[in-house]
Amino acid sequence: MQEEVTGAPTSVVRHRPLGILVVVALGLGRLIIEVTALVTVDPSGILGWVAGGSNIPEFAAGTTAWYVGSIGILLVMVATAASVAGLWRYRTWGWSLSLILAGVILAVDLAWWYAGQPRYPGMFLNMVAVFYLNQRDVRAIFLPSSL
Amino acid sequence: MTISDVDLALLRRFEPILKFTHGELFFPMATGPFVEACDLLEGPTLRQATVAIPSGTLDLDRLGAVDDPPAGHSQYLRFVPKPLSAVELARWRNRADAPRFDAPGRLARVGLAARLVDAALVTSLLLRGRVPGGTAAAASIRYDEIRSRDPRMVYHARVRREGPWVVLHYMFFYAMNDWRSTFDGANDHESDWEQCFVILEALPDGDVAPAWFCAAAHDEKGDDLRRRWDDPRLEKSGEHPVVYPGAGSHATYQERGEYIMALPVPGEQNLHGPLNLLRTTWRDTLSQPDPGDLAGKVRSALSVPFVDYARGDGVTIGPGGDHAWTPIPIGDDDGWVDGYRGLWGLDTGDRFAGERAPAGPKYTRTGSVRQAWYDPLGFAGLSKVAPPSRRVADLESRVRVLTAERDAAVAEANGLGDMLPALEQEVAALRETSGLERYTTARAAELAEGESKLGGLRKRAVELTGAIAAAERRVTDLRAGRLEDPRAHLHHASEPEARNEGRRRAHGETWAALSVGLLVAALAVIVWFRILPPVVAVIALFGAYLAIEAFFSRAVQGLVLRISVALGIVTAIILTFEFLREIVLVGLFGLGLILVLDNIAEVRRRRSG
Repeated sequence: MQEEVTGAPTSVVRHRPLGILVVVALGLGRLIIEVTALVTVDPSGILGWVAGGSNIPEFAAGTTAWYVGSIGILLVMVATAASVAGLWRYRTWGWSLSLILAGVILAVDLAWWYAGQPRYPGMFLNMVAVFYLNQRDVRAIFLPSSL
Repeated sequence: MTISDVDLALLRRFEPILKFTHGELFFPMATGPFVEACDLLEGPTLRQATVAIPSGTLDLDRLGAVDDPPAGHSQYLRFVPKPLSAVELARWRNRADAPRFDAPGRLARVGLAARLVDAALVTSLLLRGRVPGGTAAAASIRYDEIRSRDPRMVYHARVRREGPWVVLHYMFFYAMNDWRSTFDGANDHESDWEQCFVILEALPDGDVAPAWFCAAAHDEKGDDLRRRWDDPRLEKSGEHPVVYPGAGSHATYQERGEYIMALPVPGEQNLHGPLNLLRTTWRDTLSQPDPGDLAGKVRSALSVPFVDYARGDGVTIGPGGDHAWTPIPIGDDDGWVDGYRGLWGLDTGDRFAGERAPAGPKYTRTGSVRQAWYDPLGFAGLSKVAPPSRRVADLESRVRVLTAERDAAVAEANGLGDMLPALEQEVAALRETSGLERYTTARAAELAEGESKLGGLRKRAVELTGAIAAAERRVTDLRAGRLEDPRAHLHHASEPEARNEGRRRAHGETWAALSVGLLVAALAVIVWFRILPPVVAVIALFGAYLAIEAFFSRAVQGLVLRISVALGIVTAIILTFEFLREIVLVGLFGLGLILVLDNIAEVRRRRSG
């Protein structure tokens, strides 16, 4: 049974837009990558390959940079979980957080690109997410008063 | 100058009411006492100029009799022989009876780009000629001395009759424009001439009817200068129009408020097309929120933040006000009006002219006669406008002209319509005939030309029919007393800005005042000590600036969202650049696929049909 959601048109709730589903799936994927990056020590194997998708650079365990990096991963995890939940429940703050998070990750991706280690798939997906979430139709769902 | 009692009565009947801003130091005065307090100087430059006639011996009669200076020399009055020193100026500013002027910081009203333009203009004052500091204060002291002896509030005026129009030309002379030094405006200069007009229609019974009011503020010209007498936004007290002089600048605004002076962006016209294309692509192709008029946003982003305060909360001069007017009629018969072409205050040599004193009521700074003097109707864009009582007759006359033109076009089209089929038959016959190629070519060209002309005539006839119908509807409306929007003639009229008040005003103003200087200084420090590469330093400083600015305007969330979108755009550009070949190839592949599918669908439809 479809949950009752306040603030979103009934038709939208019944047929959740594909784009929202994709952005939510991207968020869940990011969540899995960051959790894996946090718990995986061995960079080899499938878990290490998944953890390599994290935007936060790897540092030697126990160093200050490692602690800072781990806190960064935690923050991204929490923000991603919140944005996925908010977006799924048609909350305005969920939309804002998703857009801001996509922007933050794009900024990190651009830094990687500037450093000569581009991550084109991530750049492409987050760019599409930004433009999708900023579309008038999507804004009309989350920010009806802004149009 | 003497004028008839009738003209003087007209001037008094429609004389304007001037409502000044609280804090104004200079008010309209007679030219005589001002000139008597001035030296007349002549010379090739400001430094080399010498006193030709010292104060105490100069008056309006002598001024009108002075010879023009040699070519290349300037001739000007000097009201303030010695500006106040820094100490004297501080004492003057802190005097007990100094009027207090309170306004939100002008820089807090605009963004970084406009603040940078402002910084450039302020810096340019170091290189341009400028009125020395302490001049406005010294002028104020001298003006107060004159006013203690001669407290009259004066307008100079003249009456011109041109066909059905009667033009009442009011001129206001001030001892000083202290906009920059007293109100943080764009410029200072000794003496100031401002003007406004009441345009009347002379009626057959000998009376007059007011039709237009015209007043100039800074860059307005032509149609934008005037307001129709029945415009509800034109404030009047009885038959007296109300004017709001800008504080210090004395620019004559027709509505109470605060005005931001806009600087035209070079090449702005060329930006409209690309920016509109960008807007429609962003809005319609990408379904993104409408960014609005981008060209307008660029223009307002670069508007120089000089505020002209026309609040009307100070002294009122005119009927019913704090002071009554004393009219002084002037005209070409007055020697000082006609004979003196020099400047009416210090000539600083400023190339942009903003800090040079103006010339007299008749002349421009170059010595040519002002249009407002020899052609006030043209100056106000009224040469093309019918007086109210003649609108219907003029329009009916125009309908007759249009009807005749339409009938002529129809008749010519009918003639061509009769002739062209025969010509076409001749050309058809010639095509099958050899030996007459040149003749055939000429006839074919004649046929094509005739056909084109016929099309044009028929189109013209339709347009004229539409114009005649529109004119006849307007005749009906005018007869019924229904006029068009009283502001329909305005193109770019000045509009007052909303007052900028906010709880974070004090901090915001402090930041606005410091921001550009801090930005430039921080950039210098970062680059000097190689803390960051210059490009990264500029990005970091700009980001920090935006963050602080957003905090003061309570738009942090909006800023972060915009930054996300901006990063998306940057990423799109990078990906396009990096994968241009792949994008083109995928695009071509997709196009080919669509063509194949479309053609297959067409074949299937044909077979099934």
